Amino acid sequence: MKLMVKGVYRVALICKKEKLKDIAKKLIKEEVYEPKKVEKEYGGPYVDSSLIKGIGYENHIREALQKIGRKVNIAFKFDEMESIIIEVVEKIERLKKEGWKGKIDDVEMAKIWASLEYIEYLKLVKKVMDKDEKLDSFVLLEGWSDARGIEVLRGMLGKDIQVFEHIEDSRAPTKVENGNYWSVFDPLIELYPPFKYGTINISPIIGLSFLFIFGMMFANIVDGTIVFLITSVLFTRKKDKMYALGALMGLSSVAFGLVFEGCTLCGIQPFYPVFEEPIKFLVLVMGFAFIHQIIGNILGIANNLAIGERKDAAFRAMSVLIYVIAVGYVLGSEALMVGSGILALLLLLYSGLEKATEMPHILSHFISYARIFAIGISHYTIVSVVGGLLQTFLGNGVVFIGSLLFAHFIVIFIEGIIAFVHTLRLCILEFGTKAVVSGDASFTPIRFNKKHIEW
Amino acid sequence: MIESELLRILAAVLSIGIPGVGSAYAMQRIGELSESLLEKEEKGFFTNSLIFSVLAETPAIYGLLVGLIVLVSSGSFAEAQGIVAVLASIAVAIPGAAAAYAIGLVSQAALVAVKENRRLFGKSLIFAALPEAIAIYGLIVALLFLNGVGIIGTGTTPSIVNVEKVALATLVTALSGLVAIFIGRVAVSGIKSLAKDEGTFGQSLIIAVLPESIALYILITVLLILTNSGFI
Repeated sequence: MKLMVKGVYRVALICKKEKLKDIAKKLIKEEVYEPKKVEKEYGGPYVDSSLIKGIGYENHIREALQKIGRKVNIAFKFDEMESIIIEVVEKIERLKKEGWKGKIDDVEMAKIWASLEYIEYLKLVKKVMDKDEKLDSFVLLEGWSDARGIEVLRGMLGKDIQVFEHIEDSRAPTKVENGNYWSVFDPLIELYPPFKYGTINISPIIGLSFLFIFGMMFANIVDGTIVFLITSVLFTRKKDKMYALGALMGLSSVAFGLVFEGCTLCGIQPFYPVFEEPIKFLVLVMGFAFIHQIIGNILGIANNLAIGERKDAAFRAMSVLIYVIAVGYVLGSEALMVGSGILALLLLLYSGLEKATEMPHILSHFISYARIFAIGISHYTIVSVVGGLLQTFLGNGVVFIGSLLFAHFIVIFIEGIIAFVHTLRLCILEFGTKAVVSGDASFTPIRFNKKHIEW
Repeated sequence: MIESELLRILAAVLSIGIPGVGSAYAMQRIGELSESLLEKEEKGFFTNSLIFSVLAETPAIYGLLVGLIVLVSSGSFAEAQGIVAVLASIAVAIPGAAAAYAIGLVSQAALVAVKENRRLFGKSLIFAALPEAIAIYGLIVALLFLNGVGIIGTGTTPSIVNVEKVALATLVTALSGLVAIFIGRVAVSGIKSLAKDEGTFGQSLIIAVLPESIALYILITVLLILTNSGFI
């Protein structure tokens, strides 16, 4: 596992269409590109406008066109595109002079103008291509790459290929590099806003939190086993990390199922039977919330300090002290409450009084964990009802097993999605806003482009 | 005794019926839009639509859950238990129906965004799930009501139940349903922003969650009322 790596190069690769397959094979071998997408997207020259500075220019142009009542096809032809942009800009300017009060502001105008930069970029690509008369067709491959990736590409590309290198951008993207084991959490981490350069990679803690919370919400041996088996088979066949994560979620569900419900068939008594006494479960969940939020804030403090954001670190430290005050209240220790209170106030003053507006979130994020209790109870009750209904088939083995599987598949599909989404929410919002310091642009790995432009 | 049994059935009807209608309406809206956007080659989009529909169904499941608990609980109800069961069903029903409506609203925006850009599915799903929080808070309150009068859990039935306080807690919980619609509206804007620039996800999410704070304060108020009434 490594800390954050900054991508510094933008690569545009041009080659003969016929050579694409060979290059694709090499890229796959080097794991620069995902195999499935190469096969799916292969077929002609492609350009993905959204990769250029991260803005979907075509969308802006399309919106502008709609506002002035001009209809266009979904795919622009390159030659048309430049004239369309100019036409749009000129028409809007003319309408404005005539007193038109349409909804196109200066920002949108700037975006439309910026589209011309995109056209210039494409022209540059075409100019390079035109140098070689034999190069009558080409494929554009672009994206960010780190220095290592550039070396890999250089080592395997032939003479017909050009590589553009753009030295470090002021907002060059960041990427998280996880080792073999922790990369199972990559599908989760990709949902987070990009981590700031120089901060600590907390993917393992996020991943483990995710499994823990999901397990509590979806605790059941049968459901967990089914999820584990299905996702394991799918992972073996498709090698998609999402399925590996699914298998771990299944295991977590089984583990918490054993702890909370036990296993009647195996003769295992529940270690902590929370569902019989819902309040006990609520207390457990809120205890977890307490610890989880403190861990999140401590990680956030470390991240803030790592990049020199002392005021933000002070605010997070103050959040921790709020929890210490709560401990003081429970223990009846006035000294702890007063001491922490004074320190918290000083930290708040240091971090800036405007931060006080964020204080209610300390409480609201803590209470928000109560959803684990509600979804956990809901899942348990539904499974119990299903179990009760299936008792009538107990005498007939085949029918019983068939009905059991069918019923659990439905429960997994509905309750599993609910538990999954709310676990994501807790990890991204309630925990993520404490532990993660985000803000940089996201890393777009080198890839074949999606949109087809005819020259 | 008959009255209590009627209250039990009334509780089940309210908790199953009201959020059920809300969910059905949301699913209808999502379904209509999905069908208009579906294309034969796009199998993934069909699955996405299905997942958004399931999300809209969730408040109905929470209502069903409370209804089932009330219906299958053993023994006959005391009058206070019956009244609290009806109040619990209102607490889960009104916020549930509002949440379902809001989920429908957000899911429609999400479907359009996902149709344009498949990579937005995961992030859109989180936005679509935001209003559901209100249904969950309703469910938490309902479960605490039922636990408080011994309909669930192993706790004993309190000899005196302060029905007036429970009714006030129900009223404030039902009101929190409105928050779901407000969250839904902000979440729709969040998805629009996401569709324009994926990088705005973090900020849009935080803005969309802000109205939920009010629902959480309501939940805290209800918890305090219940603590004060000896329910917790």
